[in-house]
Amino acid sequence: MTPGSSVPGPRAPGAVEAEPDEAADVGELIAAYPGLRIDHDNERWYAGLLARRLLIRACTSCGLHHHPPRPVCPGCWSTALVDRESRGTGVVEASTTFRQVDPYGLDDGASPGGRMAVTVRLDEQDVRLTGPVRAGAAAGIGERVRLGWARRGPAPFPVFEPESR
Amino acid sequence: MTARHPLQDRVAIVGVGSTGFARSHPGRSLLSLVAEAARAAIADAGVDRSEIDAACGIAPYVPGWFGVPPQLLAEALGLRLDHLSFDPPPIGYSLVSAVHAVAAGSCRTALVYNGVYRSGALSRSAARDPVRRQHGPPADVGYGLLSRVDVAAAATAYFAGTGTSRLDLARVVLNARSAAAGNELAALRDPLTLDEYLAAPMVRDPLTVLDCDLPVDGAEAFVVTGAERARDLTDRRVLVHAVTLATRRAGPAWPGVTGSAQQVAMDSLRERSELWIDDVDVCFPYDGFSIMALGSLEAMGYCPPGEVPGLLADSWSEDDGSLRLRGRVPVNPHGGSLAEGGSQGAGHLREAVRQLTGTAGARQVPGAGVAIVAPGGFTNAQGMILRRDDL
Repeated sequence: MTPGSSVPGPRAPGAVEAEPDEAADVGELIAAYPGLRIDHDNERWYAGLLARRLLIRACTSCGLHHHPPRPVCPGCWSTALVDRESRGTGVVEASTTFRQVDPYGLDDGASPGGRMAVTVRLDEQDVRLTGPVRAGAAAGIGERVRLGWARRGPAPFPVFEPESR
Repeated sequence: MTARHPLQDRVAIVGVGSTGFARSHPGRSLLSLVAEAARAAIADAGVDRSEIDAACGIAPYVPGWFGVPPQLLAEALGLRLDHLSFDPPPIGYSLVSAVHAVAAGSCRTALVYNGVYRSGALSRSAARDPVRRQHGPPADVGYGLLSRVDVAAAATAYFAGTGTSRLDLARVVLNARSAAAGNELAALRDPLTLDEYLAAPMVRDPLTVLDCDLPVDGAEAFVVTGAERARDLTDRRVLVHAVTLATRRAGPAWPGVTGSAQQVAMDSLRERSELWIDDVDVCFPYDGFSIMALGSLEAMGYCPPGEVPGLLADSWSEDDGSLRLRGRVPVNPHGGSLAEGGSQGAGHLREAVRQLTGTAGARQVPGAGVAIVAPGGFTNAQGMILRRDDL
């Protein structure tokens, strides 16, 4: 036991290296992404989406990327975190198709037979990301995908699409 | 070891971490606060994170409130857990979960934590944060709001039956404020006068805004392990001598002050403990509302039922505006929930550990060896006897 074991507060994971031009205020983000749980850990992620940028949280101490964004590096516990823009290309590692209900609410057209969702390992960051495949498209395990954008109500939302398309 | 309580002295607290409550953190998540306290506690214990194999934390007590599930904390801190629990407040539930798991061999070393986060429903400044406005108790009737009616009503009945008055509540509140002045973690460190207390805005008769614990942002964390392992880790460790959880008349039934869950908790704690108030050097009655501290002291047996006003008068020091039971034992020397900040008893537990490890700084009670901690109110109460291992 040592006295003074309370530590000073971490810096807010702020310093976004790829600063979204529109540093949206969190109230705007909540309005832009209804139904999603926005908090002070993931607000930068949603600010990125609003600016059509995929921001992946990175630790400047150990270099680890992680997602979803957390206030502390799960690898080394550093709070020196930044959000780096990703090109959003990668390889599908898992997939499923929503046969009954499409949970995404995107306005990118019809998906006959159901909306596909994929878990993608990003090329640049050693991170897995799960999200929708563009309506009407499909991407199987092992296939390469790239990032595209659809609209979800008032705001942009990322979709994956096959690179071969 | 008594047959009644085979857990006695088998589990130890070896680390504490606190964000403190002195600053509000409008731009931070509750997870970030809990993670900060947890890292501090693990560092304080001097263990590697690979040794932490359990996490027991406090869950929201109304739907929509804030809480950090142990699964989320484990992910954020890269922990591998094989015992976890997400328990209602106050802090004793999570402490007991950890103590039982360690004693049973279900885990080796557990993290116990509680985070508190001002909701838009209870704090005007928090209501300016759009994130916090998304959360809070239902607008029509919430368990928390309902319990405030019950607590105020219990206070009026206790006043009528015992001759207790707002001047007695004032002694609890003023004691908290004078104590918090010496606590760098506390939210309210300014002195308070009796006149200021009496002039405070009434919320529900007879409880003013100063009789209610202060909504704050922050977190507390503790590292709990077996007594043998603790002896390898540190010379400064605190044994959980006895611990108990209790309830009585939970729900819509009207809970009185005398004979409430606080009494059930203290009665069962006493059965399980070989140490009692004659041995206690520092006392932690719960003060989520000031009236609860009166019930807590009565339940501990510092005075006969209904005779709290005399106890407070005998214990009151006008010189420094503080309470010393039997002329000796400080009461919530960190300022309690009323002045340090409302942490559902986690601040009380942390200060007890600090006192018993001799790390309470200017607040240190010389030679403190035994503490009684009594989180919780009239329907949901808990008790702990903690002791220094080397006594």
